[in-house]
Amino acid sequence: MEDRKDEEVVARQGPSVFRLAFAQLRSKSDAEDVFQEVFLRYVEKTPEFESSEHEKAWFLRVTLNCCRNVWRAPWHRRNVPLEDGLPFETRDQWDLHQELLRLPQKYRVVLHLFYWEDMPTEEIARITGCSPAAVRKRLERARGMMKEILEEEGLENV
Amino acid sequence: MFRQTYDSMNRQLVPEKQLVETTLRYMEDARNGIRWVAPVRHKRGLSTVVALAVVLCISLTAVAAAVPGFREMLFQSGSAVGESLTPVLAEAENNGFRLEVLGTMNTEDTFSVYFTLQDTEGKDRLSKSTMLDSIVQLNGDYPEDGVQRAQGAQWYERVLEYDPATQTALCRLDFDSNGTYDVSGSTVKLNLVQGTRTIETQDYIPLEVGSSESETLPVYGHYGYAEGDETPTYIRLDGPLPPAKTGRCPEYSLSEWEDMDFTGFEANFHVLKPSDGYTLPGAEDIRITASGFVNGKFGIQAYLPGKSGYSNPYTDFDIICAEAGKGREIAERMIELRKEGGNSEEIYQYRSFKSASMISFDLDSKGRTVAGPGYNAPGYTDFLFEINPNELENYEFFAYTITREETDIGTQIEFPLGEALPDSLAVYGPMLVGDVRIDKLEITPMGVFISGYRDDEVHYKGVGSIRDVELVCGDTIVPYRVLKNSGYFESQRSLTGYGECITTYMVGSVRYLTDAQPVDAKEVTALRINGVEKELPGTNASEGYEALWQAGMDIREVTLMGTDGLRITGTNVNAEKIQTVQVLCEGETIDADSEGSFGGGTAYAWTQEPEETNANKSQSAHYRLQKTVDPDKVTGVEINGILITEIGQTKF
Repeated sequence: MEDRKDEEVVARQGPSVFRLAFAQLRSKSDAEDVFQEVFLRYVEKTPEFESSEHEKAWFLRVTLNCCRNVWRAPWHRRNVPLEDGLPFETRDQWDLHQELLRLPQKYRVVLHLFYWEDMPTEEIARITGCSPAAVRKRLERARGMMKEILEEEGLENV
Repeated sequence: MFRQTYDSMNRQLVPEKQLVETTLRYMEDARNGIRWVAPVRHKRGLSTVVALAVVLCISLTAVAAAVPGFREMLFQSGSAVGESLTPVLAEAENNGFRLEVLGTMNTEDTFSVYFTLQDTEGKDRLSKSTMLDSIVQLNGDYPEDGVQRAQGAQWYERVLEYDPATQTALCRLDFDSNGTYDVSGSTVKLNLVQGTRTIETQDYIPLEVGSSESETLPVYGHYGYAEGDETPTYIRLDGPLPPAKTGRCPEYSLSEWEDMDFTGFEANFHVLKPSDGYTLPGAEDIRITASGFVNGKFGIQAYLPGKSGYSNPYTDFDIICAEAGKGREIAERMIELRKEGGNSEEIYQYRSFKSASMISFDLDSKGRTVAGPGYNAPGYTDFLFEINPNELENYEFFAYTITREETDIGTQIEFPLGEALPDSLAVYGPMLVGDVRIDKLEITPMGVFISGYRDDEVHYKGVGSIRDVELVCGDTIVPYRVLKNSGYFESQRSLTGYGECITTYMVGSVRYLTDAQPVDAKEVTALRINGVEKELPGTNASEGYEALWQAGMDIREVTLMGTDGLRITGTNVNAEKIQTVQVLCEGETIDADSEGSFGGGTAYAWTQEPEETNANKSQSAHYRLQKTVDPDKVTGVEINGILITEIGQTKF
């Protein structure tokens, strides 16, 4: 019974967890590590959710917390993740990936939650622990930085 | 467009099927109380060390009563061992022994495996004191033939706990490739060959010895053995026969030897002449047959029955010299050390006190002494000590015997190592801490591992010069002590193209443990070696040899040769790493052109069998300056822009 529930929750939340972890860490192997850790925490904490939105927000928040632990590891500070088997198919995707690496992580997360998860700023604020105003400011700066980076690289059409 | 591309990127990013399956398995294990250490993945990056190790301070005694629950004990929540172990379920049975692998932990070049071994036939063939003998091989090819110390591999097994009720031993094997092999993700084949248990000991048998003159016998020759043979096939005469005083010592077959007449032979070495002697108390097969001075030393002779064939059980025997009045104390200390297990360096010190040595011999049919009978053969042994007649009364002597029984286990098992990255480790290096160079520092729950050269005789000291290790965690200083016999060092020799003298250096790793609580690697802010503190993570050195090491160039020496030559000596020095070389002299920068690399390294393991390895090849790269310089006015050398000011000089 529990196994079945685990399968369902991994199927439901797994892709979002993985993508957010990748957005943060820009490393497939790191994202996979975080992926496992998130679901192990789910087993340990056995949270009860009021709604599907509540469940998703919980998983995304835990994902961000696990990503922070990866950054704190000394080896991570000294090492640049290699492009370990990333599935990108087009040159544009690769180029954008490289440019996103140049963004600070706090900007990457808001970009991801806003553009991919389609979350309102209030929801992003709850997940990241910032105020909505801070989220809006980060979004504005993130867009500005991406615009500069893309123009600099001649990728403004990406 | 950004959004479109970003969306298309994310659509590609989905967790792979294997990742999902593994995660679900971990979740199920977690529900069953088995907590996996996060990420089972090998990090590919500039530094890929995985640490594991659980400090040996886990309280196994508390759970011994739970046997046969060794598995539960290892993986219970809060167990430092369990949290770092990758559970492995592998079992095998043979010869009435059941072997079960409980878990593994590994770094990049070491691993530990916990396993249980049970005597399923209830024959009491195992005990807490059982010494295991095993063959280990990774991926079917490392080390070659599973031979220990080949290609840098070294391992050690021990029994941690034993339950007599179920006749089950909890064991651990520690493997170290000493940097010559990446064990991550390997498949290990473990062949437990045999177990040897101690069934009886006589730990302190004081010996009464006299100082009177003793008769001696000349040693005529030494037995020789064909490769792999345990019985001698020839005898080499110990010194040329008169009147010919030159030439190679002749060798004779055993039958030829018996017919030889060595009248006039002048011996280089002598032994004590055996008498009937007296039986050693508690060891009726052993007799003390002589004592006295021979070859400038004091000797005590014993007749040992040897092991006829493969007699089992068998008795080992040794004679120890101690300062007068301290014999019993030393004997008790040796008992303690043997109980701790391992090949203790302290035991070695006791056994080698007063430069102890021995010579074994037997007498041929004509009563002539021939040295070096086989280990299993009966014969006499002179136990020799560098003591002169005037000081004999300052010392005492005691013997001890250990009776052991060997059991064939012959059980083999295969299991995988994880590619785990526990969340409590840190790796640093290379760095210079005071005047000590270390290549790698690993902070793990299983202790601290420091790797590097044992000693460099030019500009800095190495791992062999480390006396004290401490980790600084904020305001707390945690002392570490070296784990005895954990160091492994490999010798290397190199020759330069100019026929320079041979350089010998050794590189290896040493393990340190703490009696305090294991530190959280993330909390460590500094390392202290011999009282000198180095902040971690250290700042990148901008000049000097440390900067070269951190830039990946393992250069140990830069030497100016004459007025226009330069030699750079290090490991794997080649043109790919060294791109620019410039000499600074009187405000001028002079380029130097490569003349190629010379010399090579042949790595020698403990067995002194030469074997080529890719690691640690010592080389010298030679450069010619584009103009001559006055050596006394050279202020430095820049290698890839890194300034070195400590430079040696030769005349040519």
